[in-house]
Amino acid sequence: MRERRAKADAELLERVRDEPLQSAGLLYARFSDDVNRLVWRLLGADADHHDIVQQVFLKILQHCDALREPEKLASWVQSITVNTVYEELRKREVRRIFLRESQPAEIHPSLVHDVEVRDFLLRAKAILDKLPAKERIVFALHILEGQTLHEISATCGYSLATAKRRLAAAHRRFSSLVSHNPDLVRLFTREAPSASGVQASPMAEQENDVEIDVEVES
Amino acid sequence: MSDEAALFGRALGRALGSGPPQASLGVQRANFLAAAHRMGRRRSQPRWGLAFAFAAVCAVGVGLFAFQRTAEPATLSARFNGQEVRENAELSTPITATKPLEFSDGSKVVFEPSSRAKLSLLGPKRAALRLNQGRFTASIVHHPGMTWGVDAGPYTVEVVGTKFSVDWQGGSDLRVEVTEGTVRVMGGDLDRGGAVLRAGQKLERTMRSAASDAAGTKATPTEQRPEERTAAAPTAERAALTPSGAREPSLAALASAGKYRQALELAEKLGFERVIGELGENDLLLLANSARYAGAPARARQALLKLRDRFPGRPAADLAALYLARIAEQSEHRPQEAVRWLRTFLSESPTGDLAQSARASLLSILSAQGDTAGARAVAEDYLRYHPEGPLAEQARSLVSRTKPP
Repeated sequence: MRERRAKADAELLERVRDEPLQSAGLLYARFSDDVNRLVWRLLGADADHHDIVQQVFLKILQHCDALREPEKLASWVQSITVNTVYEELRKREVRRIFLRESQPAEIHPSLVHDVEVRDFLLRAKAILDKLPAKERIVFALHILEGQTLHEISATCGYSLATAKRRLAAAHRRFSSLVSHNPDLVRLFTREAPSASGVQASPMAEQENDVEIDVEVES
Repeated sequence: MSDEAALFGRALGRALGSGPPQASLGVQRANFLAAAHRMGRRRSQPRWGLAFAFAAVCAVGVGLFAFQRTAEPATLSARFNGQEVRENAELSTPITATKPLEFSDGSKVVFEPSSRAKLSLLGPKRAALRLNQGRFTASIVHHPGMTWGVDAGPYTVEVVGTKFSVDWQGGSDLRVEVTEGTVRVMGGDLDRGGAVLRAGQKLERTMRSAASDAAGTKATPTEQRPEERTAAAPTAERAALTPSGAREPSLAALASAGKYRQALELAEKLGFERVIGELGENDLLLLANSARYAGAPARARQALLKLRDRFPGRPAADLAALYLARIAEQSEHRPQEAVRWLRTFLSESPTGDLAQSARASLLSILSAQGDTAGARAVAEDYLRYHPEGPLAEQARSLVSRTKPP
């Protein structure tokens, strides 16, 4: 199965190299779900999500000639995605440091259907925004995507030791940050909010488990 | 992985889901393909020597011409809610649903509930809409030589290729918000050159704004001139939140950085009453939430009430009603008060993004209180507005069980 997919990817890459414009739609169809998921989760339903995804696909088109092992297209796309997100985070870090911009965290408008989910996401993003870009990427790949250290080192192009060091540093920083936000800890240590906006938060929990067994008046 | 990080990851993963809504991917794809074509043109420019320059320029020119011929929406067509529509078609949405207007070039306009508009022009070089009432969000794909316009009352929004929204409540308030690209708003009481809005900027005009400008009265945030509204520079309100003469972060900066307790302390230091009387709409909401997160529900309540008092009818004021309900229920344990605020919120935003969760909360509280008639009425409302909502089955069951004989 994996080999078949790798072969199909290699053929797709061949087509993209020969006819980039004509094959752009195929490239998007093949990787849209993967790229969207990774960008969405690494950046946290960011307001600029669609721009970043577009950048990823344009980079794939621009640099596909550089890929020497066509059957590894999928992991290469993942690396390009992670690098693009990293560059975006770095740009924001630089803006924060040099321009002293302190923009509040923003989330994609499609995720505002429940006020508690929005609250939680904004606060979670505020925590993640405080991690240096390299640590944040490693941390997010680990806690959100469940990647192992080996996978992280392959995706990010780090040595295993570097991935391990960055992950450990991210964990230390995260622990320190959440220790100053005990109420946030309470939020995520109970049932987690959901994007569908129905579970989780005190009120939203009620939405699913709502008891509407009112007595019927006879 | 530490337990805390694992729990955080799980909660965040659940909150995020696995990606943006599928409905938004069509526009994303169209934008990518358009950008790829633009990039393709750039890549085809000459690289080697003057000897090839002329031929290359010709090739690029021919390519560009061919591209324009194909990209030009000579046969631009539109479908409203899946049905083909022509120029001058009247478009309207019911009170419970959004409807898309999709163009053959990948551009898309999504109308919110209770909107009325007209596709006033659908030509090869220009498309235009007249928004009579309501709100839409648009994602316009840029094509050379193609322009787009939106008329709302006396205003015109000129678009090239961008993402933006327009809100026009038939003769009163105009609200334009740009998320990508640039638009120019002209007409009405704006200066001759109009107002240029870039990504992240918004323009709000009300009937009061013209009156206050003319009368020279002090402008409130919704009554400022567009240039003032769209400027990113700190406003007087924001400046007032920074301790004078000190290089300390502002209240908004603290709150945005998640330093809620410090934000609240700064507000107390500056005089809480004064601060909530001076802050702008969004910063006031930020302060109220900081107070909530810092465990000061009374201060949060005070800020939210002030927000509703100072900015009636604004989106933040609507949201404030929902937060007041949360505080009443969770911190103050006053369910009746929570019910009152939830009802207020729903009367102001019956079809907004958060209405479904508000109705669910209301249903839950009323049920817990044994208010059969009240719960039944909310359940009926729930089914009317959210027939596919997660509580639809339970609401149906409640309605059938409590049906009068």
